[in-house]
Amino acid sequence: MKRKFAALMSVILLAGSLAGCGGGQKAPAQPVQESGMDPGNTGETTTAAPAELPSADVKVKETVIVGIKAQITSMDVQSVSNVAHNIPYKLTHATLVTMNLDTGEILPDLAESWEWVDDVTIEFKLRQDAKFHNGEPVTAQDVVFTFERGRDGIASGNKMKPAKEVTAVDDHTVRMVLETPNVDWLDTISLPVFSILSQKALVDDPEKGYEIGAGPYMVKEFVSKDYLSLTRFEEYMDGPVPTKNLTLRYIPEASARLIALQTGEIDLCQDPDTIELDTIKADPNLTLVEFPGTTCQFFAFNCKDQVTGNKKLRQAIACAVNKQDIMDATINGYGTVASSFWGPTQYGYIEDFETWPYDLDQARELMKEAGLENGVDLEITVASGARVISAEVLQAQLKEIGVNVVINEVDSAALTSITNEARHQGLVYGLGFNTAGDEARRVYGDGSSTNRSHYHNDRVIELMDLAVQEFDEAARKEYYKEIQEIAKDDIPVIPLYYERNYWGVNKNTGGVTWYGNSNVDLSTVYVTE
Amino acid sequence: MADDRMLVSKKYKRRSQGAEIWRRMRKNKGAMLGLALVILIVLTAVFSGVFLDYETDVIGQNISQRLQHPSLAHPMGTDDVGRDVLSRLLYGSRYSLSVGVVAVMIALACGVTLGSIAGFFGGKTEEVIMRASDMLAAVPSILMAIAIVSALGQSTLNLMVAVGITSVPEFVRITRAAVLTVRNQEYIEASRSIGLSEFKIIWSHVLPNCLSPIIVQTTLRVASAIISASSLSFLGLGVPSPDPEWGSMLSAGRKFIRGYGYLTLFPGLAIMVTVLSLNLLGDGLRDALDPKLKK
Amino acid sequence: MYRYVIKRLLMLIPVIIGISFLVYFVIDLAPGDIISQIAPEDATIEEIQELREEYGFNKPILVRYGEYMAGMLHGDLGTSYITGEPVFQSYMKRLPNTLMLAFASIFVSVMISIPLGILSAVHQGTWRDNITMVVALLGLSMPNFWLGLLLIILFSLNLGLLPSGGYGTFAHIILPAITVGTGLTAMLTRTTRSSMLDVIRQDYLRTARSKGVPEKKVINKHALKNALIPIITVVGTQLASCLGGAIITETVFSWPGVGRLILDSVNSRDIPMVTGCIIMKTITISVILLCVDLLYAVVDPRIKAQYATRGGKAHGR
Repeated sequence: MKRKFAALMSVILLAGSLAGCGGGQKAPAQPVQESGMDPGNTGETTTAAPAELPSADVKVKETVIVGIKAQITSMDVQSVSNVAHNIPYKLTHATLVTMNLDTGEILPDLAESWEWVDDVTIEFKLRQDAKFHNGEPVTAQDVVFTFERGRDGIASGNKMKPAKEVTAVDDHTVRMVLETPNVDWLDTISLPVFSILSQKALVDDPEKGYEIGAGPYMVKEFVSKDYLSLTRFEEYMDGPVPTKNLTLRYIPEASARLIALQTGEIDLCQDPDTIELDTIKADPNLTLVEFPGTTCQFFAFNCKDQVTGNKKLRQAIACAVNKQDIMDATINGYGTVASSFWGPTQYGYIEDFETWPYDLDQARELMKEAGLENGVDLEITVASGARVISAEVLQAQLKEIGVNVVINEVDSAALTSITNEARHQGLVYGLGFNTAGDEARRVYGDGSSTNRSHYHNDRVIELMDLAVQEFDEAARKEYYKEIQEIAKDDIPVIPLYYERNYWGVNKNTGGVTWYGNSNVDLSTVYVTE
Repeated sequence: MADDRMLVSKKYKRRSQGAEIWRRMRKNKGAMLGLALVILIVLTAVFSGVFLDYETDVIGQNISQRLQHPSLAHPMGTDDVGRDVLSRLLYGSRYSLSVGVVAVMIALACGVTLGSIAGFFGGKTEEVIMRASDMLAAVPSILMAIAIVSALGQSTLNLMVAVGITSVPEFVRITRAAVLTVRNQEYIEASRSIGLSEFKIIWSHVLPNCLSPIIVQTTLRVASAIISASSLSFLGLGVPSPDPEWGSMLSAGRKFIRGYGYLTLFPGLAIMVTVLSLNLLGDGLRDALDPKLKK
Repeated sequence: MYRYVIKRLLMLIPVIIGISFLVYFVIDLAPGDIISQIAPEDATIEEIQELREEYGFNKPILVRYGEYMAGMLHGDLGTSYITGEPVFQSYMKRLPNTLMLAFASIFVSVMISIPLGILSAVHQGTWRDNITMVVALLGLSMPNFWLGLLLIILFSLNLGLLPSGGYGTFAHIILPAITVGTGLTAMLTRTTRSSMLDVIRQDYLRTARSKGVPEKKVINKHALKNALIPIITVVGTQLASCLGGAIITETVFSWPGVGRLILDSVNSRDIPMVTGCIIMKTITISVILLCVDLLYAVVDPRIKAQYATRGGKAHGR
């Protein structure tokens, strides 16, 4: 790490601890397993980063094709911010700093170093050798321009708000003044939505200039919702990447995607269906990449609803849910049962957290306490797709304690507005967690659109505020533990399971960093011949 | 088209016509096979409720028995939550058939009403109805159905409405064409002269004489409605879970298509056989009702 | 003739207004809106409200529809909320794929249906007739996605003969075309059969036979030629329906056609994209149907005379 220590040591410490990553407190690196053709053999295990490069004497394929499951709709980095787009944006664009998404460690990218001048001012020194795809050097003026343009971006607008002022000190020095002290700032600006754009490119071509970045690949052809064809940028600041042409192809049907992998039409296949994992293991030409995921599937209650606002009912249901069965039915058991609604790599995660047991007697008892011993109707909203099965299993399980579930299957657009407007009762959905402890705010904070339970507890809010300012690790962890215990008792959300991530790849594939939160880094991917 | 020039003893004539049609139908082996299968499927749908219990046999789960290949205990295997595929398939005939039939009934009611009004009255009324129907026909039926289900929300009834609405233009067109051919016949004039109301004339004199193309179309449309419902299931807009409509069973089974092909095979075959028989029956009816094809 | 063409094109205008109105309202009625799709994952509920205002979703729907149609008058079909691309551009990018698939499917269908239809007509009422009709119905009776997946498994995975999806080469189009095409054969075989049955009994065929022309020639040359008009009609309407996009097939084979584009846009409530594409599609289909009608006039002078006298009604089916 090239991190320079600034005068305000404490701020950095705070930054580190907030990111859940300061020196000694790194979350454990997640092992990646590449299971070979022998199903019993767990294969090699590597840590997430850095990705290895091919040795000089092997020939690599000129063109690598990746089958992806979600559409890429726009290559304007400031217009969308989600996993489906972060993957391509990481390939074409570069940010000031990047992060090891599994450990939360901040690494230099376009900025070779940075320092906090005071608790709201940070200065970045840019690399001298970084260039955009149009040949222009990356200068401080481009950073200033990027932030100016980003204030109007759909995805970037709100994210850039904390930066009150971005100025160029000289060609390669940028100074940012924040609205308030923000210890998460470096984490934030490592997101691809903060990718640095070329001012010249956008002035020359306001329509498409945003495709020009300083990342390892240049956009050759982009057809929205279909494919993105990239070609390597020879003057990339860290030297050219191994693969010359990289294509991300959208293949919506999971089974068709895997078949395309088996027939060699694609080299990497994102998220094959879990039922077909054995097919990959059995195929001598393929490798199954398996790594822990940070997405938690959950069953949430709308706390504002008259029926599900009843805490005893929620507790009763918590005792009547058999998570293992739901996981088996939905993802064929390829996951880990969750006990607390907290990311497995998130700061403050507690191993073996004790939650409600699966106990139908206790559940019936709680139903009585809730005053619902004669049964109750419950509507579960779910988006079409795999989660419908979870809802079906829940329906069968809850019947045991007299809760009659009606499944309301909707598409994802409808689901989002239904939950935002708190018109649901129950909800089966998923949430991807990152490493910061303050992620809790997304789940339990007021006004967060991912607080799909519309849960509010004064003490939880207080604890989150305390934790984010706490330097003492033990105390901080204690706060997070208390939050989880309150959440267990109030049970606005029943966490079901963490999904494991799978990719099927050509057996000669290398160079990929498999991050647990699905933001897989493909920059240095290669396939040897 | 029926031969309507004579007014002689309508009742007697119709019966003999029916007998004649039946005689011609019986010669057509394909149509008879279709008819037999359709009757069988309808009987299954009617009686499946007698020997199967919805709560236990149809939606009762048993996770420990999930994904069992076909065996004596489960002749068609079990699905991903351990439900018996055979029971679901038998019971599912109710959903598949009723989606097809109700959707077509909706289309029939709207289409025939509008079509006969357009055909009978002509002029501006006809122009407006036909343009509106053209408009509806211009939107691809599946897209229209998607839009309607998205808008109304997902339920079996909405699915029926969506599939039904998309078939309306076809019925309008056919009814209008049929009505046009009988509109100027003498017996209509006669009914007018004795002072029958227009609607009464349409209902009791025009429509009965336009029935044959409508019957044929109804049979064929039930078949295509079943297919449309399965397509909507594929897009996640079908009959909501856990009801065992064949299309949604087929669609849910598709991710198991390689390792557990029986999960798609049986619902797929059920749909295929049903659609095929309805089509054979419809084709047979068409041949039998069409005097031109008399041998 | 020209008057007829112009009249047909003018008739499109109310249809377009009606359709766009219908589509715009239906999509708007659906729960959820575009904001939920474009808002970042961690947006707060307040931020989502702000975005809604920014995009004008707080205005009444009639105002928004009016604004959209005002743009239409200037030839602007709108811009996609999601991709930021002009709708017209997105549509045109996909149209060639859809056209290609439509023509290939029709080709498959014609290649299967016409021989089957003739066979069935010639052997009317025999077991051959029955079997032929069953074969013709098979494609129609299988849900498309099932047929498509089975074809992929057989031809791509097991036999390794054809690509499983995507586009670009001739090989890519074969499986999707079979999937769509076999679904169309039933209708076309029926038409061929009944049209052939009509013709076979005509006097001139009897004359030809009595003159000693071989039966094969009688059928293939004399009969088929005269049975063609209803067949062309059906091909025309099927072509039109294919242009609506074969949504299911496009999804299974990741074929980026118009149907898929519209479906995705419905799902993300991208109203300008859906409305614009449907308008474009209506125009495309109408133009093709018009061409089919004009083709008749060229083929059959009697119909031409009809257009001249009556100002024309669409071909009766």
